[in-house]
Amino acid sequence: MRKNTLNATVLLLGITGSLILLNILGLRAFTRLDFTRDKAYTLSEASRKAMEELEDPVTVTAYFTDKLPPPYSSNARYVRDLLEEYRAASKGKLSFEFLDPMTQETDADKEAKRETKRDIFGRSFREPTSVERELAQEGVQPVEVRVVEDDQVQTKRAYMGIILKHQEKKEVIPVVADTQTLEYDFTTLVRKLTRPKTPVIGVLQGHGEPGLQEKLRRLQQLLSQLYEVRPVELGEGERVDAAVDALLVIGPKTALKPNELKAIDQFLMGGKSAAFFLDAIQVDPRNFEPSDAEHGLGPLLATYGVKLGDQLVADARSGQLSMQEQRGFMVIDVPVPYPFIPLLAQLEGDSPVSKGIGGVLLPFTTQVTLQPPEGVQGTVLAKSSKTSWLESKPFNINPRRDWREENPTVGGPYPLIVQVSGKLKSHFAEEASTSAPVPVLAESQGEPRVIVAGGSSALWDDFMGSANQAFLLNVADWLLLDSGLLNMRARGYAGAPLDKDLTDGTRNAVKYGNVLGIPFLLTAFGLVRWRMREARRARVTV
Amino acid sequence: MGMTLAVARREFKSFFNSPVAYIVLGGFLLTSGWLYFSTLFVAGQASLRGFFGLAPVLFVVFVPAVTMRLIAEERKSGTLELLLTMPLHDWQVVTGKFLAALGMVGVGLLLTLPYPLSVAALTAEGASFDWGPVVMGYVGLLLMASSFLAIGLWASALSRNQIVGFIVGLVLCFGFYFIDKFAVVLPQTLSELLQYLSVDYHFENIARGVLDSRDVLFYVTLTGVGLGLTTRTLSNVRQ
Repeated sequence: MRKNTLNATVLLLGITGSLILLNILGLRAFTRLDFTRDKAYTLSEASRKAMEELEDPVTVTAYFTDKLPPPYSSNARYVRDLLEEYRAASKGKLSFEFLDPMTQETDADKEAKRETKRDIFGRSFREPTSVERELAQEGVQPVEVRVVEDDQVQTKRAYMGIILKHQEKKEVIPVVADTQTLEYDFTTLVRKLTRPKTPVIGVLQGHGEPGLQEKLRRLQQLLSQLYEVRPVELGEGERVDAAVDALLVIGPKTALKPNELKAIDQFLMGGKSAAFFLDAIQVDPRNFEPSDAEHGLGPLLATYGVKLGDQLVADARSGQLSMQEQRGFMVIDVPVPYPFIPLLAQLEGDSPVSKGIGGVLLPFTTQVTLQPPEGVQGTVLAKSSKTSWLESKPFNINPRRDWREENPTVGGPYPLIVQVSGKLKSHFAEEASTSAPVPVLAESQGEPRVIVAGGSSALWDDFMGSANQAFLLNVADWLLLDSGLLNMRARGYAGAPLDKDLTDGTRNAVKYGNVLGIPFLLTAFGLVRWRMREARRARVTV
Repeated sequence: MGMTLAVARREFKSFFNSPVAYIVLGGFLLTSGWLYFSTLFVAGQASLRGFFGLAPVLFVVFVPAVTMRLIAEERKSGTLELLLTMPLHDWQVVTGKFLAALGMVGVGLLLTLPYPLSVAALTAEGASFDWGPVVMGYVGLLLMASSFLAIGLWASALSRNQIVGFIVGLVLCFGFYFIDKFAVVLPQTLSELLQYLSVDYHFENIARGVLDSRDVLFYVTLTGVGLGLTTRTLSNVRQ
C-alpha cells in the first residue's frame, strides 16, 4: 500500500515538473493558428509583400520598459510576436531588438532618479535622465503607468515606443497604444521609409472649393502621413502638373472652364486616377445656410459612365444634430435625427475601397447612378438605406423642420458613391483627330480609376469621424494602387452589426426562445426520461 | 482505456438519471442566456463576445457543482471502496470521472449553440458573421472547463462532504480566474507570473480566434496537475 502512495507521489511530481518545464519551453517556441475570417491576427499579405520587397536592411528598436503591469505586458508580448513574424517574412532584411531603456542608464542617471524635488504645489518631480532626454529627442514618449512598489501605488514612467531606421531615414511610433492597428501602422511606415518617391495627391482649387487649410485640415493631415498633398490650380493650362499622381476634386462651387475640364480628362486619359466629391448644393454646417454649386462636371463624368442626380437623398437612418431647446428656464442640447446626413451601416460592393467599412456619414448628398459603357467596370460603393427618399429643389434643409406631418415617398436604396475603372473614352475624343498644338488622347492609356460621390461635406473636418477617415484613406490608397494596405486597414473595422430593422416580435422570440426555450426543452427531456424509467421500474416489479 | 470509458459511461449516465444534470445545466443556461441576450440588442453587434465574457465566471460556480459529488459521495456512501477493489488503476477511475464531467459540460455548451446560430441569422445585410472566434471560443471554454473540472475533482476527493468539495472547488476556481485581476496591485515581479497563471487571460487570447500553443499548453498543464493531485489523494484514501 505504502509503495502505491509513493509511486503516485513520484508520478505526480514527475508530471508536474515536466509540464512546468514544457510551459517554460513553450514560451520560447510556440505556434499560433489564426481562425478569424480576415486573419486579423496573422501577418497580412501586404505586410509579407512589403517585407519581401525590402532591398536594404531595416533596423527596428523597440523600447519597452521591462516587466510592465497588465494590460501593458500583453502589448509587449504582442509586439515581440509581431516583430518576430516580420523578421521571418523579410528573410533577415528586417532586424529588431528589444531594449529596456532602464538598462541603458548610467550611474549619474540613477542618482538623478533618486533626487526628487517638489514644486510649490507639493507635486514631486525630477530631472530627466540622459536616456530619457535621448529618447525624447528621437520622438519616443514616456507614458505614466501605475505600479506597486514597496506596498505603495506609484506612477512610473514607462516606454512602449518603436523606432524604425532605413539608410539615413527614420520613422517613430511614439507609443504602442493600440495593438489592433499596429500592423497597419508598422507596414505603412516600412513602406514609407523604403519607397524611392513619395506619391503626390493633387487637390483641385480655384472654383470655390474648401481650402486645405480651411475645411480640409484633417484630410490634409491624414493623407500627409503617407503622401505629399498639394493644391492644384489649373488656370489657363490644359494639363495637370505631371508630378501629380492622383487628383481629388472636392466640392467646386463655380463652373470649371473648358480648358480645365480638358486638363482633368487628359489627366485620366494619361492613365492616372481621380476622385470626385461633388455637391448639388453646399451647406454651412454651422448655420445650415445652403448655397448652389454649379461645377459643370456632369457631362464629363457621363462620358465615363457616371450620372449625377440633382435631388438630395434624405434617409430615416441618419446621423444626429445637437439642437438647443428651451425647457422651462433651461436651454439644453437635444440630439435630433437629421435625415440629410445619411448614416451608412455598411459600405457596399466587392471593392477594396469599401470592404469592411461601416458607419460612414454622407451629409447633403445626391444620388449617383452608373451607366458604364462597354469595357468599363462600375461598382456601387455606398447606398442609402431602404428607408430613404429624394428631396427636390428648393431644398428645405432646416433642422427644425417638422417631419411629423410629412409622409415622404420612400424609394431607397439609392447609390451614393460609385467607382469606375477600365479603358475610358475621352470626353474630348472628337478633338483627337484635329491637329491641336497639344495632342489629345481619345482613349485612356492603362486603366484609370475614378470614384464619384454625390457630396463633398463627408470629407470636411466637421464630419471626419473614424469611419469617414478610413474611407478617405482607402480612396487615396486605391487611387494610388495600394490595394494591399486597404485590406489590412479594413480588418480593424470589420465588426458585424445586427440587423437594425428587426421587429420587437423577432427580438423577443429570439431572446425568450434562447433564454427560456432551451432550459424548458432540457427539463422536458429530463421529465420524459424520468417517467420512462419509472414505468420500466414498475414493469420490473410486476 | 476500455475501463476508463466504462467508468466515464457509468458516471455520465448517472448524471442524467439524477436531477443534478438538469439543475446545474438548467441554471447555467438560464443565467448565461439571460445575461447575454439582455445586452445583445443594446450593443447591436453580431458577436458572441458577451457570452464568452460571462461564461468563464459562470464556470467558476457551475463546474465545482458538477464535480462536487463525484468522489465525495462515493466516499461517504462507501461505494468508493467497492470501486477501488475492482481491477482498476486509480488514474483510470479519476480519468473516467473527469471525462464524464467533461461530457456533461460539453452537453451544456452544445445547448448554447442556438445562441450563435440565431445571432448569425440576425446579422445585418451586407455584413457577415465571423465564425472563427466563435468556434475558438467554444474550444477555449472546453479547455477552461477541463482545467476547472480537474481542480474541482481534486476538491471533491479531499473530503467526504459534497458541500466541502463544492466550496473548496469554488475557491480554487475563483482563485485561478481572478488571479490576474489582482496583478495590478502586486509587485511587478509577481504580476507577470500571476497573469500567466490566470485561466481567464489564456481564454481571452483563444476567444479572439487565435489558437496559441502557449495557451493550450497552459490548460493541459493545469488539467494534468489537477488530475495528478486527484490520483494522489485517491491513493491516500485507498491506504
